[in-house]
Amino acid sequence: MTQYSIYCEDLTKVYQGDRRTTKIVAVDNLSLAVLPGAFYGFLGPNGAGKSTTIKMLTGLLRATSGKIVVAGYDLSADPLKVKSLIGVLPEDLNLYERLTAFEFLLFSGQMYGLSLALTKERADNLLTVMALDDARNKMIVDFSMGMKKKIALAGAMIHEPRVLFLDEPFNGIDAISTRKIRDVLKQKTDTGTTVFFSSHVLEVVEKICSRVAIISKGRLVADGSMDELRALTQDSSLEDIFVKLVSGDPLAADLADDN
Amino acid sequence: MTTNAITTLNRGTNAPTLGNVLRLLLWLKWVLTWRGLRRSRMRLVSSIVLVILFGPLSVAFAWGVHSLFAIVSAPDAALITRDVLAVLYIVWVVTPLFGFQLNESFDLTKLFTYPVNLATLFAGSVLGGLLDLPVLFTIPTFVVIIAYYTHGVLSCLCVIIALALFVLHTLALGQAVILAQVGFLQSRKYRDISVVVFPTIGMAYTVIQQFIVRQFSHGPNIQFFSTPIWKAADWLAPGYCIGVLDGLRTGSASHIATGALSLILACMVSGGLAVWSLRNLYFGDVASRSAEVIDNKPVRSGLTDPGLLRFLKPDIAAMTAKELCYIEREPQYKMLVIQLLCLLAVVAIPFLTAYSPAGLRIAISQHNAATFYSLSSLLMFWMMPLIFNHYAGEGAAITVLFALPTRRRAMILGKNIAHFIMMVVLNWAGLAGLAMVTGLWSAFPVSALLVLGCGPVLLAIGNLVSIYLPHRMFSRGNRPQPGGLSAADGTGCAYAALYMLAYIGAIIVVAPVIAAIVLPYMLAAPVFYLISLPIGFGYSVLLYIILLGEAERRLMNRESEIAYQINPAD
Repeated sequence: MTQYSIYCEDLTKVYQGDRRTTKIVAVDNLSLAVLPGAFYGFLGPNGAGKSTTIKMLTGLLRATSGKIVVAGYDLSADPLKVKSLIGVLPEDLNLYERLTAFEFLLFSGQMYGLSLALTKERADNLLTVMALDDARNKMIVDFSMGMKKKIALAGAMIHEPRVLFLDEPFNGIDAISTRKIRDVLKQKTDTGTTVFFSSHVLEVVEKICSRVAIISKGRLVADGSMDELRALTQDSSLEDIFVKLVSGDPLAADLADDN
Repeated sequence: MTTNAITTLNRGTNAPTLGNVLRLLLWLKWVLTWRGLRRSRMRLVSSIVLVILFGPLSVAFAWGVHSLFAIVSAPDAALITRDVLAVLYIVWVVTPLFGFQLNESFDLTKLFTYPVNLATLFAGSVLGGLLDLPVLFTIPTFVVIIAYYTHGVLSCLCVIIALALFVLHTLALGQAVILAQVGFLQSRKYRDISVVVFPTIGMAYTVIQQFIVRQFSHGPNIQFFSTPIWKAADWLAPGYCIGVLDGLRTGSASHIATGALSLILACMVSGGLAVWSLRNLYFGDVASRSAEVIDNKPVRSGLTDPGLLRFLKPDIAAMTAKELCYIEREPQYKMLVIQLLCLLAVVAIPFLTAYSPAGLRIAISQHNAATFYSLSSLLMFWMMPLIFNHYAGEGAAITVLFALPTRRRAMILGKNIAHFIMMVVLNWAGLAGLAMVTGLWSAFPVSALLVLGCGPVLLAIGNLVSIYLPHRMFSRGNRPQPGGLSAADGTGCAYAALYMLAYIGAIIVVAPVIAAIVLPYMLAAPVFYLISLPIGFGYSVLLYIILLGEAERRLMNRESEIAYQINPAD
C-alpha cells in the first residue's frame, strides 16, 4: 500500500439531515489507489461527490468511515504531516485577496515551514512560471479569475508537495491560462509529483490524464487509463464514455456494484 | 534561477514553528486590516469616524470610572469595577452577533490547508483580536482600574495578569461566537431567525439604555451598581476578576486564589469551546448541514396558486406574485419590518416611561388625530427606501429580469402592486394596534385612508427614483447597508443628498392628498369629504398613471445602467 501516493478504502461520507432519520450519502464506499507521478483525473456530474472526496482526502472534511493514506501517511493518525506533503487548490480558491501575489506566496511558503529566503526564491520562480511576473505587486483582488487560479496554484506548489489536489482547476478560465496551468502540472508529474484533480473539462482530462476515475452519486463507476475506459464502454471519446457511465446506463450500475 | 527549479523534488517540509506562525498571523491581520482601510474610502472614513467618536468617548468613560472611584468606598468601587467589566464582557461577546462581517483576517478556514494545528490558529486569531479598535478603546479604562488597585510592584503585576486573563477569556469567547457564526450560524434558517431576534435584542438595549439614563439623570446613583441584575456577573469572568482585585485590596489570599483559578478555568473553557467550534468548522460537519435540501413539501405561493392575482394580466400577476414571495421570504424585507418595530419602540419609550397606562390613554386621546396621522405617515415613509430603490431586491437576478421580453409596464406594475399591498397591510396593522391600545377606533378610518391616497403617489415617484438612483443593497453581516458602486467609489454622499431631495420632493407632491384627507377631519367638517376625497384620490391616480408611462419609457433606456449599479462586476 505504501507505494501509492493516494490510497483510500471504503471512504464514505454521510451527512445528517435536518430530521434525525434523514441521511444523505455524499460518498459511498469509495476506494482509490493512485500511483506516484500519476496525472489522475477525477470526473463526475454535478453533485456526484467529487469535492467532498477531495476535501476528505486533504483532511478538510471528516470521513464518516474509511481509511485514507496520502503520501505514505495515514491521514487520521498524522494529518499535519500529510498537509505538509500535499498542496491543495480548493474550488473556491480561499485567497487572501488583500495581499499582493508575491506577499501571498511568501505567506504560504512560511506557513509550510520554509525559510524566508527559500520562499522568496521559489516565489520568484513560480511567478515567472505562472506568467505572473508583471502582477507580483498587484493585490489579488484585482486579478482575473485565471490569474487567481494561477496564484492559488502557485501557493499550493510553493513547498513542492508530493501530491497536488486540485478541485476544478480549469473551471472559468481562458484557454491561455488553461494551457499554462496544464504545462506546469505536466512538468510536475514528469518529476514524480502526483496530481489528483477534478474537472468538467473533459477535453483537457482526455489529453493529459494518465488515469481517470469517474464517480456518480458518490460511487465509483470506472477507474483506469483512457485505453482501459475505451475498452470498457466501446466508446472512443471520453465524453461518450462519461455520458454512458453516469447517465443511468445499466453498465454504470453494474460497474458501481463491482467497484 | 530557472523555471526548471520548481521541478526539483523537495519532499516534505519542516513543520512551521509556533512563534513563526503567530508572527505570520499577526502580520496577516495587520496587513489585511490596513489594506482593507486603504482600499475602501468608505471603510477608511468610517474607521476615522469611529476613532474620532469613540476615542474621546473611551477616555471620557475611563475618566468617569476614575471619578466614581474617587468618591465611593472601596467595596462600592469593587462593584463598579465588576459592572464595568461586565459591560465590556457582554459587548465583546455579543457584538459579533450584530452586523457581523467576516473579516478576511479572521477567516480561519482559509488557513486549514496549511500544516498548522487548530490551537495555534486559534491563538493567532485571539492575539489578532488585540489589534482591533474596540479592544484598544478599553485601554484607558484598564489603566484606571490598574492604577486604582495597584499598591506596589507585586499587586500591579497581579492586577495586570488578572485583567489580561479576563481579556483573553473574553476575546476567546468572542472568537468562539465568530467561529460559530462561520459554521452553523450561517445557515439560511439561522440568518432568517437572527433577522428577528437581533433587532429584538436591539430594542431591549434601547429600553435598558433609557433606564440607565434615567438612573443617572440626577447624578451618580451608586445603588444602581448593586442592583440584583448585576449579581449575575459574579458568576462570570468579571466576577472572577474582581475577586482577584478585591482580594489584593483586602489581602485575602483565598479570594485571590479562587478568583485566579476561576479565571484560568474560564480561559480554558472558552478556549476549548472555540477550538471545538473550530474543529467542527475544520471538518465541515456542522457547516455542511446548511447546504442540505431535504424538505420536499410543495411550496405554495402566488406563483403556484395565483388566487386573486388571477384577475390580473399573466405578466403582471407573475411579477406581483414573485415580489410577494420575496417580501415573504427574503430576510432583508423581514429586517425592514423589524427595523420599523425598533423605530416604533424608540419613539414609544419616552411616552411609555413618562405616563402611566391610564395617563398615556388620556394623553393620546388629547391628540388622537395627530397621533394616528403621525403613525400612518411614519409607516408610509419608512417604506420609501424600499419603493424608491425597488430594483435592488433583484440582486444578481436583475440581468435575468431585464433579459425578459416582458412589457416593462407589467414589471413596474407588478412591483408596485406588491409594495402597495405590503404598505397597506403594515399600515393598517399598525393603526389597528394603536387603536386597540388606546381604544380610539374613531381615528382609524381617516388615517387608514391616508395610505390608500398617498400610496400611488409615493409609488409613482419611487418608480422614477428607482430608475435614476438605483443602488445595491446587500447584507453586511446582519445589517443591510447601501453599497455597490455608489458607496465604493465615494459618491455615497451625493447619492444620499439626491435621495434626500427625492424624499422632500415626494412630501411636497403628496401634500395635496394628505390635505384632502386630513383637513376635513381636523376642521370637523366631514361634508367636505364629498369634494376633497374625489379630488385627492383623482390627483393620486392620475399622477400615478402619468408617471407610470414615463417610468416605462425611461426604464427601457436605463436598464443597462441599473443592472450595472445593482449587480456590478466585482
